[in-house]
Formats: sequence, structure tokens, C-alpha cells
Amino acid sequence: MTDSYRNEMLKALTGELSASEREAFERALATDDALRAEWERLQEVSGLLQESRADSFRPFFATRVAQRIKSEREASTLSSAETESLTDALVWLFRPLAPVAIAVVAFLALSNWNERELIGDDASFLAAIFVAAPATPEAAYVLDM
Amino acid sequence: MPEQVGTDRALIDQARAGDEQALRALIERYEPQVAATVVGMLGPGDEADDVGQETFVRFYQSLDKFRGDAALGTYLTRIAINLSLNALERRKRQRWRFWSRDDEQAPPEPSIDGRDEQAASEREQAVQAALDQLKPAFRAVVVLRMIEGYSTKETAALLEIAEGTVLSRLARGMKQLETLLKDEDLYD
Repeated sequence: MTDSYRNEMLKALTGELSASEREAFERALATDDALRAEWERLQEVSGLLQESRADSFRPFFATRVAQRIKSEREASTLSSAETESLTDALVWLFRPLAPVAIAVVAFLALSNWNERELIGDDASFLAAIFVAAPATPEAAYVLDM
Repeated sequence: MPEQVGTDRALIDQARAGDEQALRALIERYEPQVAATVVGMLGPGDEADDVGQETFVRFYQSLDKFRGDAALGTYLTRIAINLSLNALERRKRQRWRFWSRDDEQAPPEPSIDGRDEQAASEREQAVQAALDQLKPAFRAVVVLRMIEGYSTKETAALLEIAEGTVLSRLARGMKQLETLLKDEDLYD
């Protein structure tokens, strides 16, 4: 039995042969006993497969799916609500501290500006207020005494 | 099925608007199709039920993106087959890690409705056991092509493989099934 014959049989079984192919296949079946026997076996296997076709899951499947979708939707709503409430709580907690934090940063910047000769008079404004010494290989070996 | 497509669209619009009854109607309408794919791939049981649920949950999550280019059944089948292949991959990894017989199907409860039903149930189990022995790639083609009834072209599109690959996998899968089912004396 060649693969090509087998493919023809499978196509015949599932109604995918053209009229002329079908005619040729039927002629071959009428004259070839081995082909006919194979065709009958294939039909039997196909029948068994059809017979074993499941057409439902366990009872109340739709109810279980609907319930699962509902609970997943609720869990997702709850989780986004929790995220929002956490963000709100953090904002509520830190907002009053913002002016104090700004004042502290301004104070430190001003004191650094007043002490800018420590890192050199030619330092830029930002380097002066953040006390950022230039990063050079020489600076890396200078001991902070 | 143009009428169904029409009502599908209406139900999808209602489900998008939050109508739970519409969503439920869609689930009930497509449960048989999704069950055929998932149970064909994984066999009956908790895992199949879970993958079936996940298929509809994913569909619900992508409702806003669903434009209706593909029929809803095809769209759901695509999700179901991908999730089933993932589940088979997970199952393989678990078997590798914990070599045990725990995940084998529990033996069926005896039928109380007579011998015919029991015989049918045994045949179904034998077919399922045979399907279970196919490689996932072959099984997917057999399920979509022979159980779900998708054409070669549709199966190729669903699995993102060439049509020739569908045919060769189908031929090999069916040949293997023939041998396995013959061993079970399910046919002469």
C-alpha cells in the first residue's frame, strides 16, 4: 500500500476527492482486493473514532465556567482596588513631609555652597551644592585626612 | 451555518456588554465542539474538564479582540487544541519527573444500563487508550480531521502546518490506530 493510495483513501473517507478522483478510486476498489480490505479497515477505525466522540464535559460545565470567569473578574477588580488604595495611602502618608524634605535639601545645599572652597573654587554650581568632587584617578588616591 | 453565525455575533456583542446569560449561551452552544477536541486529545477526566474551562476563560478574556474573522467554533478549537497540546507537554514533563502510575485513568465504573452500553463504553475507552498512544502531533491531526471533521486545509491552518504534513501525519496516525485497535480485537 503506497502512501499516495493511503492519502487517496483518507481523502475519500472525508469526502475530499473530486468527482473524477472518486470515480477512479471506486474503479480501483472494485478490482483490487487488498485495497478494498484496507478501505474497510479504515472505515471501521473511522467509525470507532466517531463513536468515541465526546460531546460534553462533566455536568454543569457552563455553570462552572461562568463561576470561574466571575471569580477571576472579581479577583482582578479587587487586586486593582487594593493597588489603588495602597497608592492613596502612600500619598496621604508622604504629602505632609514634602515641604520638610524640600526645606532640608535647600538648607544642605546652602551650607554646601558656603563651604564650596573645600572642593575647589572652580567647581560648577551643581558640584558645589552636592559636594561632588571631580572623579579623577588622582582624586581616587587622595586620602581624606 | 449562517443563522448560527448571526446569533453568535449577537451573543458575543451581548457578552462583551457584560451579559452573563449570553456568555452562558455561547458556552453551552460550543461545549460539544470543544469537548470533542479536548477529550479526544486528553481523554475524559479532570484535566480535560479544566482545559475545557480554560478554553472558554481565554475566549472571554479575548472577547474585545475577537473580530469574527474566523468562525467562533474554529476560534475556540484553535484555543482548545493549543491548550491540549500544552497539557500533554506538561503531562510528559510530570511523567519524566515522577515516574508513576498515578495519572493513569481510574478504571470505569460498571454500567448499570445493560451490556450494550457497557460494550460501547469499553470500545470508547479502548479507542481513547489507542489515541493516547499516538504522538501528540499525530493525535491532534486525527482528532481535528477524523473526529471534528475539519478539512485538510482547515486542519493545516489550525495547527499552522503544511497540508502535506497533515496528510502524512494522518496516514501514519491512522495506520498506528488500526494496529492498536486490531490488538484490542475491536474489529477484524
